[in-house]
Amino acid sequence: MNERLKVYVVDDHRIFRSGLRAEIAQSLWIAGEAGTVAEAIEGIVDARPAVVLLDVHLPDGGGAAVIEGVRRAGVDDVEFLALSASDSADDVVAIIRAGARGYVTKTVASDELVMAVRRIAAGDAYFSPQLAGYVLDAFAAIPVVQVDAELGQLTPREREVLQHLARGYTYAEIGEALVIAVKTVETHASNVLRKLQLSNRHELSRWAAERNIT
Amino acid sequence: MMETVNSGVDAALGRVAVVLRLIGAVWIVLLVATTWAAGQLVAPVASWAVTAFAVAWAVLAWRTGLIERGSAAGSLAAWVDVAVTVVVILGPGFFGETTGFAGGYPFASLVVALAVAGRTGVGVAAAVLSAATLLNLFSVGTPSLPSATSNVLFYGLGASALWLGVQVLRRQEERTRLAESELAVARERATTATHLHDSVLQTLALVQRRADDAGAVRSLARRQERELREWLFPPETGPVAVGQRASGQSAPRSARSGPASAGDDDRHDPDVPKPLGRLGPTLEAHAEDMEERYGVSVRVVSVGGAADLPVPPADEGVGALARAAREAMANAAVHAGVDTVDVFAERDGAAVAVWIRDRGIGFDPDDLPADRHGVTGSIRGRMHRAGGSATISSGPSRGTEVALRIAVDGQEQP
Repeated sequence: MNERLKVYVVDDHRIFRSGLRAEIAQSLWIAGEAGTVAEAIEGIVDARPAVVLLDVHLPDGGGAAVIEGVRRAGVDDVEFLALSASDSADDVVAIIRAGARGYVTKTVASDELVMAVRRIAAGDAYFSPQLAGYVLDAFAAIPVVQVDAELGQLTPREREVLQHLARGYTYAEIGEALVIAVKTVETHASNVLRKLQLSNRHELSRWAAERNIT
Repeated sequence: MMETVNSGVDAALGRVAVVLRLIGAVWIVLLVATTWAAGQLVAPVASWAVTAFAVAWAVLAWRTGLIERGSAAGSLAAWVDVAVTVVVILGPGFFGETTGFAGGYPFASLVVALAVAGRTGVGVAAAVLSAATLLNLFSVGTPSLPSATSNVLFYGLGASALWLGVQVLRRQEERTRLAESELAVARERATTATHLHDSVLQTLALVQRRADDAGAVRSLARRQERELREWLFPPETGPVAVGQRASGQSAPRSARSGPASAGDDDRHDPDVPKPLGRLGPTLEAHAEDMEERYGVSVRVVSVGGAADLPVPPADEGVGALARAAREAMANAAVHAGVDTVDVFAERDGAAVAVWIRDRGIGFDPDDLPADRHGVTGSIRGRMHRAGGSATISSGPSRGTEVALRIAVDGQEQP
């Protein structure tokens, strides 16, 4: 039983929370759940789960506010997996930039959800095909004229990995297809997330510099 | 004190002021001309000079739009207008002219002052014109005491009436605007309610009635989900400007309706005529059809502007690609024995590629049974005829992936 990972569910729809509980309670230990940002921050800081299943859309600031609140409370060993029912790429990319390590749609099959949670708990990133698509587009949208091009662009290999993820490949399948170790695929995926987060800060600082705010 | 400049009442007031100013000018010309013709002018040269001056200002204010632009251009026009009117009232008397011929010129000045400088303007104008009239009475003796008194009363009451009238109109306008916006909100709410009733509530009713049929419920839920999502996040229809994206301010849109790809490969003009279907929605529609027909879940992700490519109705170019993709989805749904199929579309420079992938039982693509007509004819043959390519990689326990690729040069002129 102690093999089960400790997770926390944040979603403002009680029906969805109970449905999720019924689906994953077999394989994951649900340490608590919350429906609002404030409740969630308090509960997560208290329960210290390995992974938080976090709804992208929450009243009072959305999932991103939860991540910020938990980090501000000094808790760094909790990872976040974003969930949403909607397809708004902006919101998904925003929550990834806020620090979530993966994203799945709420219609995801429960075994895939459990796999995503395990992967994130192990310190990796989890890309659903949707997320891979959003991230490819997000990088295409970052202006080519970057002060530091390395941060704003994907390497050809990273692009290839993302493409395969969008095509529905698992890490193992990508490793096989590209003839690289699974660990290398994981590293590429994590690097992509890191770049996405950094590119955000980078854009922000550039934006600030252009307006003489700094 | 100044009211909003862009209000309809203020704009109308500005136009009325200009018209009255011109009427005032014509009026004064007629008065001077008739008195002159009757031989009653004491100082005709001075009278005509003052008249010319008054007309010149009216024409100048009209042609330059000084009055119409109103307070946006500062209240200078109001004070100039009042000053000109004072000259019209006092000027002739200065040269010994005892016949008054100001006519409607002073009243127009009140309206001009109100239009340009608001309440202060009309108040100051009334006071100054009254003072000028009284000064003329005491210095020259014209007009007579009763008519001077009535003039002064006329200025004072006229100014108040004008101000109040404009206030009433403004309030009326404000109320109308509020009512209109409330109506728009109510209409929007009614539309939403109707839509939710027609779609979501009907589906929920169906779900309750067919609760024992898991397959039917799943398919209902899927269809409803797609429909609602399409309604909430309609596919991009407007042109995706490259410059807008280069700003970096706009975060990427839905991957299903992704923006055109960045960079110099962006020869695809997003402004193509609307009647053509787009690749993204077309693939989505095929996916939905597969779900309903075969009960498999087909996930479609499209990036790099692939979603916005027009799909010609004929079996050529992207049209062939979309049909071949549909065939590949159907093959996966029917033969692979899986629950989910992944579809990924990407625009890469001058070509667009679609991958259709399943983790099913697979087959040997080089050793196809003769009855698998779909693969040879509908996928490979179709892509080759359209000048594209179809690569099929499959194997037992490996699943199948069909990669379709076609050039999109010239797609913007179908």
